[in-house]
Amino acid sequence: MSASDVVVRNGLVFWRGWRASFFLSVLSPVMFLSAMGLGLGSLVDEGQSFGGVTYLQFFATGILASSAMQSGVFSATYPVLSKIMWQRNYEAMLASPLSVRDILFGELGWGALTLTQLSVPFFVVMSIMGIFDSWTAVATIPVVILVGLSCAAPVFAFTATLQTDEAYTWIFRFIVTPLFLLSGTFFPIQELPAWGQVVAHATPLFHGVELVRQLTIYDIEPSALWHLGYLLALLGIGVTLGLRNLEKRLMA
Amino acid sequence: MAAEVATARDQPVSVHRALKLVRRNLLAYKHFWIAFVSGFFEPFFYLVAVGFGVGQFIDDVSFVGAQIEYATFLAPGLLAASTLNGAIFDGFFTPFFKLNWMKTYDGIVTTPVSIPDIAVGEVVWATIRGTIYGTGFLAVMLSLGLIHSPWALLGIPAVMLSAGALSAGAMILTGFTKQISSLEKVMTLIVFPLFLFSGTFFPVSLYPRVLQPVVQATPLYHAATLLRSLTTGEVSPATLGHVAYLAGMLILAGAIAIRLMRRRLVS
Amino acid sequence: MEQAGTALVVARGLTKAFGSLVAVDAVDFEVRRGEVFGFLGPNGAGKTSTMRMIGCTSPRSGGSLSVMGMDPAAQAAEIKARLGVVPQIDNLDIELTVRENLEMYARYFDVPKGVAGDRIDELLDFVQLSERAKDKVEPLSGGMKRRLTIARALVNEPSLLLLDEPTTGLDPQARHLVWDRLYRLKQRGVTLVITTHYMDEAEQLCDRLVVMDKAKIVAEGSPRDLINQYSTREVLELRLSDEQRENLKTSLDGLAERVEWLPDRVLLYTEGGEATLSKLTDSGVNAESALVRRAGLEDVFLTITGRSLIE
Repeated sequence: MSASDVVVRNGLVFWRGWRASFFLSVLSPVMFLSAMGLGLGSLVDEGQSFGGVTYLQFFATGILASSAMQSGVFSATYPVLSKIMWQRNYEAMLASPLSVRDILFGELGWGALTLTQLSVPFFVVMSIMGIFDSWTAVATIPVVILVGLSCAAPVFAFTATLQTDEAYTWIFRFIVTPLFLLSGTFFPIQELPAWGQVVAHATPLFHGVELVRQLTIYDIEPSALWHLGYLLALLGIGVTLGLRNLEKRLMA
Repeated sequence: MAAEVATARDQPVSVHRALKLVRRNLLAYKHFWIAFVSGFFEPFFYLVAVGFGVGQFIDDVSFVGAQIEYATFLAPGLLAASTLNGAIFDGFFTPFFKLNWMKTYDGIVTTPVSIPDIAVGEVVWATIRGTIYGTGFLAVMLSLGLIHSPWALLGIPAVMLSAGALSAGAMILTGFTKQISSLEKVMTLIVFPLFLFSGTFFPVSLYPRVLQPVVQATPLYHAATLLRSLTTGEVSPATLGHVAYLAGMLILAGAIAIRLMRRRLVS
Repeated sequence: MEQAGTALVVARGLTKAFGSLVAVDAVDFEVRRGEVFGFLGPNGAGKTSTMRMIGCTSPRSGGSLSVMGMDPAAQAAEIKARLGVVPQIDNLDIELTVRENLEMYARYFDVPKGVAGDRIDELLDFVQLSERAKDKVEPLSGGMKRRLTIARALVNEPSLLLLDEPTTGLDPQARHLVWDRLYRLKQRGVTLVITTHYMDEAEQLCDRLVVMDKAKIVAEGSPRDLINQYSTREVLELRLSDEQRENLKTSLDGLAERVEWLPDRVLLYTEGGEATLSKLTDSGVNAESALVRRAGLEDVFLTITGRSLIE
């Protein structure tokens, strides 16, 4: 028995609704990109400000990274708290040979699959719209998955300590939304005041967006390693804390 | 098979009883007032990020013949969009959970307060909440120099009307959505497109010719354009058309919502 | 003004159907003022559907129903104003505290503010939840939630209290506390209608009851009358080995008024259990175990329907 059993269980639950879910997860990005990307794109003065690409390209690549972030964060909030507290799925799993480690890695594995399912349609649509300039764009999918998981892991660790869902309002209102808006998705962070740019560098989405853009529309620079390193480090810290907190919570 | 006897005279809605739901919600929110207060920040963040952040790169935009700054164009659109957001939350999301999950309404209908009273009460609550947020946002707009006309004072009743109409529409969704799996479908297929195709972030004229009439038929478009006309001062007889649309929606959606809600909980 | 002895609930041919499924099949009954009236029967018998019709939350499909002189189809709000309901599944408002649940209920019933405060204090005391008044509802135990629901049902000082399976899922101590509170309410003159599938509850609390099975009423009367009518005074319960069951298939009939063969036991209905047991051992039969007990409503149900109350 192992983490893959956790994946299988989630898969069974998912399988029943997959068709609708798939359709919806393709539809949302398509609608969003067409309305926002094209609409705003036709308003914006391009050229110098976006490093030689159109606003649509700039915006779409940012959205790709940020929707992974949002999906990753969300999946580590209510669904996990539900499995710990209300539906008590984890308790049931621990009664079998599965360990806390298996649970955590199983959820991460499942998260990776979900993120893939989210980003591939997005990716395909964007390819068709001619947004990508480089063949390295293919590497975007694993990077996007990494962004999602890096953001999910610390939140997972946090969820394991919660007794109610009150904190989530704060997380979504004051962390996720500002990150979404101000990490370089909508406009380059150079437009932010100096202190804002410093803060952005400390947050994961900025790194995710930069990395995605370097792979798809800009040239790859040495800074890519720095961005990659940040995301991996965050993932590592999140998983370590997550294991510790979940262990404490479920085995106490 | 005998027809059900009680359709003879369904209990009519009573405003007095409906307002009890407002009271109940106020009491409940006392326990999470932070959620109440923080709701104000979201449109503000969007205004800063998109209005000023992206707005750097945008020249003046046209609105009913006049050329205005992008931030001035966007702000009333965001006001309308966040009113819709609130309407969906208070008129659909929360009542959906109270009805199907938390059994809150089950506990209330053994009293003289009936389901239609509850539906009306929740819409009133949603309207009040939307108006409070809207007024706050208008104040922010004023302080950021995005209001250019005394007509903006009518923005407050305009927000109230928009919130009411949109909340009544949201209550229709509560009336026919029965399962959690349907929730995602409704959000993606109905609510999400409403936000995107409404002339919030950019003028309708940018949409392909074919889609323009579709956009102009949606409620958020009318709310956004109404508010925009008032805050920019570009008021004309057409503005009354938006008012009429929203008023009509309030009445029609309200009636449909009450009808649908009557059928729930009665088995 | 209602006089003593008036019927608070009158049902004639009362029917409830969900499409082709008939949940309540043309039942007749009356609930008299001041009594504790019970609906006894297994799950699915139609008890809850009947309660919901009386409580005006479910329209009837046929027949007539009058609650406190009014028709639920026409005067639901007026009836509900005089009614108290304790449902089978708790539906307390989990976003409010214990006290706030009662305060809101007072408002739903338009209880004047000055009166409400004192009444709520009394009710919290009555159900022994005064110390928990400021707590949220969710962390309370099942028994406490049930007591809170009872207090809530009394906020409007109802003439008629409907309780659907009031002690199902409670531990023995909680059950006894609830029974005690209900008994006191009865002493104060409140009319109670209870549904239950526990025979001890029915025997302890009810003045009169009807036995429901598969949407119909199959028996009616006070617990004592029903037992006298449908059963003997005592029951001898035997556990026999398979071999003994084979051998004794017909020969037990002479020993008792009725013999009921259950999958795991044999029940011998007789006026004197010990005597019957002696006769049995004298004839050389030594059962694996033998128990003599008084007959109860479970036996009434078994006699009438051939099945047990708890499936």
